[in-house]
Amino acid sequence: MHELAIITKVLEIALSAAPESSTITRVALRVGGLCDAEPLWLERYFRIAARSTAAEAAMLSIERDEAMARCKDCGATWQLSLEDMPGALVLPCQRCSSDRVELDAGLEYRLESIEVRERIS
Amino acid sequence: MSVTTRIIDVQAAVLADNDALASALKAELSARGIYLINLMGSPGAGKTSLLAALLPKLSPPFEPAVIEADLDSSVDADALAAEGWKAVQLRTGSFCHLDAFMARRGLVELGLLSNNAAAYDLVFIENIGNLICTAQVDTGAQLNVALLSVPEGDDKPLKYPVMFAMADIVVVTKADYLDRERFDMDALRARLGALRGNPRLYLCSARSGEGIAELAAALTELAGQALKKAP
Repeated sequence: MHELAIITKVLEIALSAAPESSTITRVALRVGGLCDAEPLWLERYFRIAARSTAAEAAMLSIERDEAMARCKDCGATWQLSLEDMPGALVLPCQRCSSDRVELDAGLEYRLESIEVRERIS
Repeated sequence: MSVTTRIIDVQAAVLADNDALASALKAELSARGIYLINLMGSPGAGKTSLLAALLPKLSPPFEPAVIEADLDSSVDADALAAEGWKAVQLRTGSFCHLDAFMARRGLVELGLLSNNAAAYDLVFIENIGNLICTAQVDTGAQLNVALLSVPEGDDKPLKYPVMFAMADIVVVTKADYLDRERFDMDALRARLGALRGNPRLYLCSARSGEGIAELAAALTELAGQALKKAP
């Protein structure tokens, strides 16, 4: 359900980044590896939210980023995935066995770029 | 006249405004001497009942207040208000979680964040009953607490790992059901331990009162440390 809140924000940022009187043809979104966001719902909400805007015909492309953990003691980082769960989010550090481990990346949504079409006179 | 297509690099963190507001809210709350606790759990985990049992144990030393968040209705705020507690209700409509914007609105409705001295120093957010979305959005709270009721089962952390990894404290509620359910506290502790090192785990029953004093003492200590107030 939080997909709608995410998409509303994505569209808002995309529309404000597009030059006046251009149309947006593609919106490139990167989704962190631990985000519970269903691409299908992101796309459905995008279609609805983008109606009657400059992004009406835009394609939403979604790429997944890796989720990373980082050891607060030795600084080692390693990759996590939802499939490795349970137990994979914060494990003892694989290098120094410290349990002072934090999530370094994986819960972000990043609007990477937009593709726009413009008329040049 | 010709048509060209080009790519514009945006590189915007979609939740950046919420994260920025949450950080600012944390700083503002600390400066004003207010401790904000975000209470999360499934629908029916016993969030409102836990609060009703917990608040008398926290007051004194604190002046508690509650921000209730639900899709609709004010039954939770009404229930706490009937027992004499200050509670405001946020209706979130189709939103499945509370964000820092809404948390801030609740604090304003409580009359906090104004120029007047804060009337309440320990504020609970009773988040929307949901173990998925609520875990992913920073509300600006200084402490995140996840509730898990005995009837839900000790395997919940396997199904909702993000929630249970994010929680600073996990409270097992409805301890009075332990004799009727197959619920293994040791298994739960091991599952939580795999998610985030040494979990802070409390076992409570709002009905029998078991464990409420211990949880209240832990929250008093944490809030006291944060607000530099002797319990």
